[in-house]
Amino acid sequence: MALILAVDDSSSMRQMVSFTLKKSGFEVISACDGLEALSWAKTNKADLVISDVNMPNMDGFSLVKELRLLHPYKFTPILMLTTESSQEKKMQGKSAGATGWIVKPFDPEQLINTVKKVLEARLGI
Amino acid sequence: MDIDLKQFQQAFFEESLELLDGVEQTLLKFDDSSELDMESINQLFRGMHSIKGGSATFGFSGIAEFTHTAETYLDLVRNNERTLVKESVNTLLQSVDWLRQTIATLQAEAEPDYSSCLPVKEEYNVFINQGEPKKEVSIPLKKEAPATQESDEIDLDSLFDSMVDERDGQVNSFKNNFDIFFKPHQKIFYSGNDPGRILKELETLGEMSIDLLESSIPDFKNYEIDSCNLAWKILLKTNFEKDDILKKAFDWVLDECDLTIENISCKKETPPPEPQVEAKTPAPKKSEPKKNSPTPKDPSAGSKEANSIRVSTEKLDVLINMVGELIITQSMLGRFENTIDSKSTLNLKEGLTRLDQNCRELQECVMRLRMLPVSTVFNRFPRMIRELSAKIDKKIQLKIIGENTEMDKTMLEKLSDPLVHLVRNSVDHGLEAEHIRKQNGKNPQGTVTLSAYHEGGSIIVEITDDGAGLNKKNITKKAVEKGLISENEVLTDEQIYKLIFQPGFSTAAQVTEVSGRGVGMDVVRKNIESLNGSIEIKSEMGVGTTIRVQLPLTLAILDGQLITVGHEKFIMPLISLKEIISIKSQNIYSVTESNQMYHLREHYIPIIRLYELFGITPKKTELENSFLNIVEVGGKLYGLVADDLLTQQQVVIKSLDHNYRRVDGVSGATILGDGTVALILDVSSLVRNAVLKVAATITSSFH
Repeated sequence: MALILAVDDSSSMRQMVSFTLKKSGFEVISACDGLEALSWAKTNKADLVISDVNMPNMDGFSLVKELRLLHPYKFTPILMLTTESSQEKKMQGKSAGATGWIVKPFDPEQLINTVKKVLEARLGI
Repeated sequence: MDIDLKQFQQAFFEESLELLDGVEQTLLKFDDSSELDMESINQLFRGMHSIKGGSATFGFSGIAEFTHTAETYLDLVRNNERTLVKESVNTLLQSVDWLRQTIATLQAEAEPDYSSCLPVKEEYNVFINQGEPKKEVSIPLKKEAPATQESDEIDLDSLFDSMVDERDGQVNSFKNNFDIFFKPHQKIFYSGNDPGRILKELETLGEMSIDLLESSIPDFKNYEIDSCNLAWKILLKTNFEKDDILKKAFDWVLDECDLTIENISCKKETPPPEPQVEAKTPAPKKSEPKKNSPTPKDPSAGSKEANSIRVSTEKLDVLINMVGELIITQSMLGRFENTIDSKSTLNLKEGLTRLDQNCRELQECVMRLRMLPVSTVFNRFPRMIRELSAKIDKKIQLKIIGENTEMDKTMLEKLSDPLVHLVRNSVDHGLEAEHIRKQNGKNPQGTVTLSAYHEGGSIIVEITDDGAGLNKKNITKKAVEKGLISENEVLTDEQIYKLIFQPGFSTAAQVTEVSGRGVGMDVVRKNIESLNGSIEIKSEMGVGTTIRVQLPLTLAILDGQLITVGHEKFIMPLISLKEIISIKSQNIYSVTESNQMYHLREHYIPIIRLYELFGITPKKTELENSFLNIVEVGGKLYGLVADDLLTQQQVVIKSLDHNYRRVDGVSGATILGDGTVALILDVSSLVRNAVLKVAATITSSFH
């Protein structure tokens, strides 16, 4: 089963994302900021990373940059969760190495659809 | 699939309230002399941003819109395009208040008044638009059309047209026909993107035929594993428009591909080129970097949530109750220690001693679970002082000492309001106006100190001010006016100060908005006594006042004096007990037959026969050599008669309310080591009952 790393400093968001994805059959591991996520990622491989942008200790963009330096994460899809729909932020994400973004607020359906599409192509699920 | 998000709402509310506390604390650090550092400003931004995100997700658009405005302003601040000033800090503080209130309303499942935030919103707009007549920078908060949601749109018109066209023999069931050239940049895989996914997505939008353009594929020897050298020509018949296609399929990769989309449906229909390649996936599949180690799918590895866990207080109470039972059982066993034949049972004795130890430690640990640092309550005071200071135009400094001292959660909550009242009093009545302070050579800035510390088995909370102190003359005068004391009565300083706890007592010349109505101190004392605590005042005219609140560490156990009345055993809480004396008849003065006083040093203490109050047959009615338990209620001393004194011990409080019903004069019960039940005396209500009874007999004796 595909393993998804979800990173957000809001515990209610983490719960919601985790619950939604688990219900669709994915395995989910959560982290509360970039630092925690990176530390986990150094010894574990996720098939997909979903991360918030604004977080303490290490923000989303820094996390993406760091993940891309890890060999197993060179090509892993990383999606940014952002409330900012400005082109600038999206491009900032892309130049940090993100795959794409999901704009908050999203409803659970959207999240599942996006995740499925991204993972389907890669893992053939 | 219909996922109910309500279950996460409570978490969102709690989280938001915590964020608001953090925001408020940071804001209070700002004053004219010290600006906030970048990390603090970022924290403010993140707080509002987080609440905005969560509220939008859970459908609270009123909150989302408001926090969006706050966030917009804070974004400008963190980008150094605006600076925080006192006025905007005030606006932010007001926002915290509004948000707290609104969340509380939502938690109570009521409908908040979202329009009430508009004035504050306006203030933000002023800050945002100041300087250049800048257009509001806020980003419109419209819900983004979901990027990947399937659209069920069917254009009826074109459907009709297509049916008509079909009859004409032309295959034209879609509105649009796009000719798409798609060439991902070589490094596209590095962003985790997959052209295959994009092509799959396109396929879902209509009818697609796809053509791999082989000319882009390099020689084998030049081939790089992780670069993409493919390009496709795609013909897509679809009812979607070009923008839809861009958004649905190419949104994420617009910056890393060459892409042209041309609508050729208006041209003469040309037969689509024969697909040369399987439309599903591009032929040379991009090679996945070989993974050396098997992917550990164990989610429990490493990452965990924060180092704390939320536990409901109900669960804690159950646990504490069970520990209480354990202690009772253990003390029962302990009683047998002395009756056990020491020869063969040394081990048992040792076991019991260790059990005693374990139980006490366990009890202490469990009690601590319910303890919170007093800072959770003390933290509301900087804000309160700041606002009071502005309202009444006095310069006030607040000092907090011992904020990490821990106290039982329930006690802390109940202490909160009395503390507020006491601090307000200090500020309003204690501290003098600036000019008076200057006249008297005092620092024009008044200081209020809140401190908390452990002492013995109690926790002490003190409120000290360096103000005018209590005016004994005024208090005595007022008390005489109200008939609380007689003109000639001589009272100690402490007794005088205690008078202010009488209901309706206030020497404030003017009742201000802040305090002075005279209902406060009485309620404060009642609240503290209901926590098995006591309150004392020390004061010096011209120097200041200290109010000292003493509370037990916990409400679950009690230090008490075991007494007997007849065949019944009672527990007298030590905190209420001032003194115990053995009664000597020559010190008894009878005012009336049933109303007697005991002369102790300079006091005349009313004697209350507990056996009478409780309707118990006493061992004897002669008071000689019985014991007088001297307690203080309402600033006066009373003596409660007991036949015998037994041990002083710590008892576990069992609630009568839960197990039986509320009984006047009794605040709970405990199970003693021998299995018998001892009622715990509620000294204040006992005394009040007794006083009423006596008053009744006095009145009746006049008829």
